[in-house]
Amino acid sequence: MTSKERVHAALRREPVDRVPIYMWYYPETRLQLGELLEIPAEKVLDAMGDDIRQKWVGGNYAMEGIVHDHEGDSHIDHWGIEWVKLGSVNQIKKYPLQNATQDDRLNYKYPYDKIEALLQEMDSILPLADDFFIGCDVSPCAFEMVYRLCSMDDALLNLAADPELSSSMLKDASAFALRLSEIACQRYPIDWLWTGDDVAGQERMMMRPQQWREIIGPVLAKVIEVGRKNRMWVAHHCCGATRPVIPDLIEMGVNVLNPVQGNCPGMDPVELKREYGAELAFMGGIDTQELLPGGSVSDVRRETEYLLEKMTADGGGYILAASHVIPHETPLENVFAMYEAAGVSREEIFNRASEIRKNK
Amino acid sequence: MTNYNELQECIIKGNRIKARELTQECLDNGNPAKEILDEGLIPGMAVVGKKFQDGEYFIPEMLVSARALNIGLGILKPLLEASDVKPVAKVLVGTVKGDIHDIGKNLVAIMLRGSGFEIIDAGVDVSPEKFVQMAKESGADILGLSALLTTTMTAMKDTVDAFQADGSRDKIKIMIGGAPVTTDYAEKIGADGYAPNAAIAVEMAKTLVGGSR
Repeated sequence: MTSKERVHAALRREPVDRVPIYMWYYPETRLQLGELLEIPAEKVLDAMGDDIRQKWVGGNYAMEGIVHDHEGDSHIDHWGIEWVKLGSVNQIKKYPLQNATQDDRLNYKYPYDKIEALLQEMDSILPLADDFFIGCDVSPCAFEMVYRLCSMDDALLNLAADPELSSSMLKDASAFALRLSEIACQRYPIDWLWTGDDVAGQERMMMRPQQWREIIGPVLAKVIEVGRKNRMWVAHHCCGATRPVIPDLIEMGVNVLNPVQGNCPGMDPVELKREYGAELAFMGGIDTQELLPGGSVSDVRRETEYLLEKMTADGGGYILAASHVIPHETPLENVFAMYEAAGVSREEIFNRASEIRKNK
Repeated sequence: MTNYNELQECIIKGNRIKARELTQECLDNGNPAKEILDEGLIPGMAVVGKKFQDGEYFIPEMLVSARALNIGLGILKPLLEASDVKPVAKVLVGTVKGDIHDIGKNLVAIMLRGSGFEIIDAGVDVSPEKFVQMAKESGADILGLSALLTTTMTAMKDTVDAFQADGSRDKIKIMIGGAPVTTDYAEKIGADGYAPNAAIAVEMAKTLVGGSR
């Protein structure tokens, strides 16, 4: 079974030779694995046996796609956001619309002229499309994009202080994600359209779920619709306690939910599977906040085995992944433990790494 | 005696224009600034905290209320200072080194300010040394540390250790919060407490200063 066949089968709840895997790593974690396996960091997914290859063509590219060598190095992206390398990833240093006037916010120009350059990111994974499941990540799609432009405090305040302005900014943000999605879906052999919009915290959603339904949901739905119209799977990423709007996301046509942070209220993966598993598949669930960095190998193995059993109880609908990027304090043995539980042995991984070295 | 219900209601609803008018009106009527603070603004913000805790309010509603509160506080502040009214306590807040995610820290600051605490905001990505220095300069009673990432929460321990090394650990109470943080972690690193959200942070801060005085 190729990786591509494996993911499609799992999403259709058809038999698979093993559960599909798609892990996200902090750059340092990937480097550590590369060193251990004696291969370049960018080959780590190949050695590990991950089934999905995906690229950011939206705003996330600036956060994780551009890797600076030194702490404090920065760049300004196509949206006018200044990012600085701080720790593992780039974080926002300057928001172009923070303290901007209402007119400036309403007249902000999204970088439509940079769409071709953004989409070029896909070029490096397209040759893999016969064997691998190909994803195109157009996130952040709505509210998360607005708060990258004007800061989170500002964006949240405006939801209550000026819902009309918020609504207008959300429409503009999603219109850009929609355009990216339309071109990407028409042009490339994509298997899923990856959407995303972080609107939840550790304890609950950032805004009233009803307000999300009124002004965020409708614009997000249009982006999701592009994937559906083009007969692709649609995945959606939202960190945190996103439970109140899961039924809405299903209604909009989301097929796969990520990252399923089980330690947030209402987000127990097994419970979610029981309630929504008939309509929704899941990717994630292996805790990155405590289990992976702090647990023992047997803890990780036990938890992964448990999740695999429960999350595939109906014959599929699950992609093994951590509940976000795997932090660099994670002992690498814990990483291998997840793969082992899914049927990918350490030996198999090292053998593949050896092949990669030979073919260099 | 003035009925402060209307002023409280402005804070609860986040009506900053009316909050300004009513605060000024109370002053013009000869009410002491301390009374307007204690019976108008603070009880209003307490209701906001309760509504947040109960899940009726979310962050946007809290931020709008905080904006109205700050207008009122801005009018009262010079008068409170002139009459030598002391805050409940001084709290130095900041996100730890390597972490620039400050929404949690900002919410905690809002709720503390709305409960009569003075806030000294060290900002984001603050080094342990800077926290020690700012604590000394400001005479803070409490230090509130925030971290979002598992990769940066270790800087909380470094900060607690820096106060130890400086010999000033017993002069300040340290409370911590943020997504990856737990009570166990607070104990492990020698912090005085952990608060899972902004409303609980206020209770914890009150307990911490109560215990030290």
